[in-house]
Amino acid sequence: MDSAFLVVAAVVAIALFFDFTNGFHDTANAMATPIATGALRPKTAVAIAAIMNLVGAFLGTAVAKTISTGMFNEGVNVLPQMVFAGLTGAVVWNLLTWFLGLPSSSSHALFGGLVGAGIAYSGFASINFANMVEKVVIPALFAPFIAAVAAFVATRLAYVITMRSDAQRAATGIATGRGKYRYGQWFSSSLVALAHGTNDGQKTMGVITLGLIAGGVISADAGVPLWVMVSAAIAIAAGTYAGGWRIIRTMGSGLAEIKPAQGFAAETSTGSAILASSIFGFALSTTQVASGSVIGAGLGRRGGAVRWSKAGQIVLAWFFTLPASALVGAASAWLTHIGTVGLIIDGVLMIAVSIAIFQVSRRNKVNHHNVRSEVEGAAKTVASPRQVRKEAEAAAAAAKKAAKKSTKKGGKK
Amino acid sequence: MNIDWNKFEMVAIGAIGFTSFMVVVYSFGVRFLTNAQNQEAAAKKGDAKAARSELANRIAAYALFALSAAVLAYGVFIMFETMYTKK
Repeated sequence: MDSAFLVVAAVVAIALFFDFTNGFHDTANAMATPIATGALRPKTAVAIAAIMNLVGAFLGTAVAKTISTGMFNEGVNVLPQMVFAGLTGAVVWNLLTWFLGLPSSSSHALFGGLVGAGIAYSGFASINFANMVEKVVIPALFAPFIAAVAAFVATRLAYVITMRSDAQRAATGIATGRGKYRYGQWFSSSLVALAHGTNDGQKTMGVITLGLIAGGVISADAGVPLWVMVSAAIAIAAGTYAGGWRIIRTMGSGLAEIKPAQGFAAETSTGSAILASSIFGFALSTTQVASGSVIGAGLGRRGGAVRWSKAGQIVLAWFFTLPASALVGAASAWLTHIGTVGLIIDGVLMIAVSIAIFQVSRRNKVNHHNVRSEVEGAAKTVASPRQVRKEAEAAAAAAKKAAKKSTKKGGKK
Repeated sequence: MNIDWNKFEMVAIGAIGFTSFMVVVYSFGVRFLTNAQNQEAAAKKGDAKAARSELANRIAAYALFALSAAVLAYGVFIMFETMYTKK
């Protein structure tokens, strides 16, 4: 078999693995707040997120084009090995931050890895820094701020509109009814998941397309092939369903205590900021937008608190994402420079690091059973009529069984 | 480097405006529905005024929920349409 074909196949494989890690790293963006407020059961939440990501990945290719055509300067010979090395940096950083429960940006990890590998292969002149600043760096600075302002304003409005004075409550017994925002959260969180699929699903499509162009499989002006769209959509959906429970815990309860009205405002803000940015082909970080929204919503409620120490850790991780993944990407590029043997060593090292991180993470396992355990005042999960019926039937059956048992005991006496 | 700041401005206005509109519409829906639920007991006891008020509040609430769903769907439709037609 042709070695060039094998290199391209390796690029496609690692890109899909990156897409998978991107999915489970970013499940929290859409589903952390509905899980924290009890709007959705954890497993149901990740299933909805997976479906919406799958659908979203098929909608549009503006972001994919930014990556496949806008990262490197014209005339730069982009090699598949370079793309492979870049992806290695992104995967390692994604897994490390997932292990630490830090919602860092998968997108910036990807850009950082590719930039690092590009510089290692062809020098600083190979990178289209102007395009990177416009499409990546500036949105990274502005998007979380915009999302935070939108979520802050929306949370304030929600609380003002549903407010009841103490006298009114005492006189009429009228409650605020803010628990009803949980139903709205079903839709707002789905919107975020859809937007995430549109934005992040396309990023992997862009990288695979870049690898295919670099390997000479398709021409530079060719669009994103259908099989690339399908495989990237499936990979991100599968990753989302796997659920990055550690990050869900951080986003749902570690950053701010979120009530249903805040959750609704935060998700609506995240979804609209991502979708509005996608129109202009800004490859922004959905994680940063979602974190900004949670902080904005946390500040928007009177008496609400943001855990600034956690927010500080997260922001620090954001600053490190680009350089750290660039360093891994560059180191990886140095290995792939050796040739096919270097590429194999690189691949084996990446797999070993991934397995090691997974193994260490098992010592302190976070999954759908304990993801909400640290949420202060977590509300009761909204149950569907079917679930209520089932629970009632189970309770009735248990009561019947107990009654039968006591009758038998009485008869024996 | 030529950064088109208008795009960022549009994203900011779009995101803040859309979010605020959606939350305001939904919040009024929540308020009306809560009003309706709190008048339910009196309406069931035969209080005609409470029954009328309960019905009006409920209709207003559901109309607002439907409006927020429609706006959400339309917003998503517009955005994806723009992405598809973009060269």
